[in-house]
Amino acid sequence: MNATATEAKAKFKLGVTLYSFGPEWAAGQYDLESMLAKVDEMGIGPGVEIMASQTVRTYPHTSDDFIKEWLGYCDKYGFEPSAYGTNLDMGRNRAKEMTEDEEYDFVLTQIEAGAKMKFPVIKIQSAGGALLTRLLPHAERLNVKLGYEIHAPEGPNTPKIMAIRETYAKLDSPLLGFVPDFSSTMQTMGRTMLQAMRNKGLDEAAVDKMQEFWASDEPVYDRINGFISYLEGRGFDPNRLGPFGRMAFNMNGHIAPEEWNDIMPQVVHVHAKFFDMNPDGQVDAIDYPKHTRILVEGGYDGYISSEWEGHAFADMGEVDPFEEVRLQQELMKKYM
Amino acid sequence: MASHDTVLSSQSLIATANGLSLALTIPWYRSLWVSSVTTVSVSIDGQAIAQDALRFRINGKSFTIDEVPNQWEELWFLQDRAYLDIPLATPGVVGAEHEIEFHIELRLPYMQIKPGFYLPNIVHQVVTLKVQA
Repeated sequence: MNATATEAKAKFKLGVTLYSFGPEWAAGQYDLESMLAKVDEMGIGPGVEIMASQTVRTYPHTSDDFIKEWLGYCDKYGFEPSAYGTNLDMGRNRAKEMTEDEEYDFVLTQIEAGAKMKFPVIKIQSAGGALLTRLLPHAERLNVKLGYEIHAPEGPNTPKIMAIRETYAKLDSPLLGFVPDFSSTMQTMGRTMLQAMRNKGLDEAAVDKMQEFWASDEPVYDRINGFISYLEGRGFDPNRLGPFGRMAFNMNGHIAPEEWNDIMPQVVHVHAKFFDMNPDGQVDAIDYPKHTRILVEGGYDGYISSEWEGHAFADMGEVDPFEEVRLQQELMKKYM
Repeated sequence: MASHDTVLSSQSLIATANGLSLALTIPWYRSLWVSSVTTVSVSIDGQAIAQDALRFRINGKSFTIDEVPNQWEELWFLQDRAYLDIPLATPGVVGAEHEIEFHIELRLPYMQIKPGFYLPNIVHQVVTLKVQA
C-alpha cells in the first residue's frame, strides 16, 4: 500500500506537539530549548505545536522575551511553528464566571501571541457564535486560522460538531476550521489502556464486555452507564477503575475514518493521536495507512502533529516518547 | 496521569526549620490557577494536620488554605512545584521516613460541565517518603 508514482502525494508536512512529552516537561527534565534540541536530534519535524497553558510561564500572556526565544529556537533548529493551543479558563475566578468581554480578552491575548510566534493556526477551545464573530476580524488582521479540535467521543458528524459546522456556515470564513484528532476514529480500544484496566482488577470477561459496550452506536453516556451497571451487577465497584473507566470511552472513538472527508476543506491542522507503536511498525488500535491516505487524497496541506498520549497509561521512563514519535512518523512517511 | 498518581515524588518530603514541606507537582497536564485547588489535606504517620496550620506556598507567596480559592490570578506553572508547608512540634529530620496520606481536589477551570460546574480531578496518594534536605 506504499504510495506509487501514480498515486496522489502528500501536500502536508509532519510535526509534533510538545504535549507528547508533557510528563518529562512537568518533571523539569527539559527546558524549551533542550526539548526542541532533543526533538531535532531525533529527526522529528519540521512542524512544532505548543499549548500556551503548558509551555508559557506567563500564560495567558506571552512576553516579548519568550516570543524572541521561541523564534530564535525555530530558526536555530529549522522548526516551523504549526499550531498554538489556547484555552478558555472561564471558571478561573470561583466567585464569578467570565463575562463575554472577559472571555474575548482572554482568548484574543493568546491569539495575538500565537500570531507573533508565527503560528499559522490557533487552536480554540470555544466555537460559540458570538465569540467567533468578535474574534474573526482579528484572525483576518493577523492572518491566522482558528481551529476547533474534534476529539473522541466527538466526530465530524456528531451533534456537538454539527452545531459548530452550522455556526461556521453562517460566518462563512476560510479562517474557521477544524483539527481532527485520530482518537475519534480508532479501530479498537488501545492495548496499554486495556492493560491498565486489567491492572485495576478487570477480568477478561469484563474487558470483553467493556469493548462490546464501546463498539455499540449508543450515545457515549449510555455506553458508559451500561458498562457501569454491568460492573455493579458483578459486584465490582466501578470506582476501583479511578478515572480510567470514563477515559476508556472518552479517549477512544470508533467513528469511520472516512468521515473526515466530510469536513476535509475545513481541516486546518491535524492531531495524529497514538498510544503505542507495535513491533511490526504499525500503530496499535488506529489504522495509520488509512488515515494518512485519506489526508493525502483529500489534498490536506497543513501540518500533522504527532500526538503521543501513551503517558495517560504508561509511567514516565517506561516508554521513550521521542522514539515513539520518530517511529510513528516513519510509518506515515511510507503512505505520503 | 500515568498508571499511578504523580503529585508526590520520592523527593517531595522536605525538612524545614519548623516541620516539613511537601513539594507538589500539578496532577494535570497543564498549568492551573491556584484557585483551581478546591481541597488539600495531609496526614503524617496517621495524624491529620489541621487545615488552619497548613500553608500553600508558590511564586514566592504563602497562602492559608482559606485564601487558596481566591487566588485566580496566581498561576501554578506546570514546571513549578507548589509547597504545602506543615508546621510540627520539631524541625524535620533529614533521612527519617514518614507515611504521608495526601489528598487534593482540582476544579478544571476550562472544562465546564454546565454553568458553575467544572470537571474535577481528585487525587488521593498514600506513600512512605524519606525526608530530604
